[in-house]
Amino acid sequence: MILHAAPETRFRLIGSSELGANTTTVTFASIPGGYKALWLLMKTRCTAAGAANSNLAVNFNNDVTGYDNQYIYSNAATLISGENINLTYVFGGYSTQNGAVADKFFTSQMLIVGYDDVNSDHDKSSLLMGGGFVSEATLGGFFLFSTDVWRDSEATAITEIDLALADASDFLAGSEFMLYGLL
Amino acid sequence: MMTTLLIIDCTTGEQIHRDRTPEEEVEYAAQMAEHEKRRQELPPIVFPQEKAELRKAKLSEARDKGKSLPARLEALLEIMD
Repeated sequence: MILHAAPETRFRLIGSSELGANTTTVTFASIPGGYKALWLLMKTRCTAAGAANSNLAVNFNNDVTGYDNQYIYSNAATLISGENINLTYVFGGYSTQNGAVADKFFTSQMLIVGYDDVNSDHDKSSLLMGGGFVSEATLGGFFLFSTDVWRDSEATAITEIDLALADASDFLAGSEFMLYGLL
Repeated sequence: MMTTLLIIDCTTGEQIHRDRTPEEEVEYAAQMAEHEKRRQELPPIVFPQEKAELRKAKLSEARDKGKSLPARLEALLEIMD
């Protein structure tokens, strides 16, 4: 009697890198279609001089218009929510700045369902969850839930994802990026 | 200053890590200028961290007994907005 079928491969790594040198822009190019969803994992720290976090900017297919964002954010006991309309990038969470306690990185995951749909009536949207500490003291912890919608993208497959810091700093060596396709 | 690119080709698996060429740098600067122009045309964007700082400042105002009651109430109402 077979109790369990052989495990299926449900995730396929379609691109990844651990940076060996500081890098301004990380691009996942020529993303193939055919998966049910994309799952992007990031662990980042950046060259910005502060001791907090920089915004991580994500762009689809080089488009820099028409992203709407809704979020829940927490830092220690502070919990707030809000929205930003018609942004120039998808809010990809944060990247720990280089003045933060050494070895602290911000970790995020982004899910993009139906990224290659070109015959649907829904705009492409992403769901992001991320968190990290900038110190080992009170007020050091941050957590973020965020969703973004890319306007007028119902007939466009996402084939390229660009990752950069909104303050034009660089991702530090040691930052990691992984893009999986969900089968 | 040269900016570096990492391009991961998800179809071929090839990875290229290199500086932008001078031509690409000019193109990138033009794109960034356009990006900044568009950004300035949009309403001000308040991201969560900044919003949290504003909230703390308003709470501090609301708790400030040296301020008039209407001013303290106004600060509270701004948080609620």
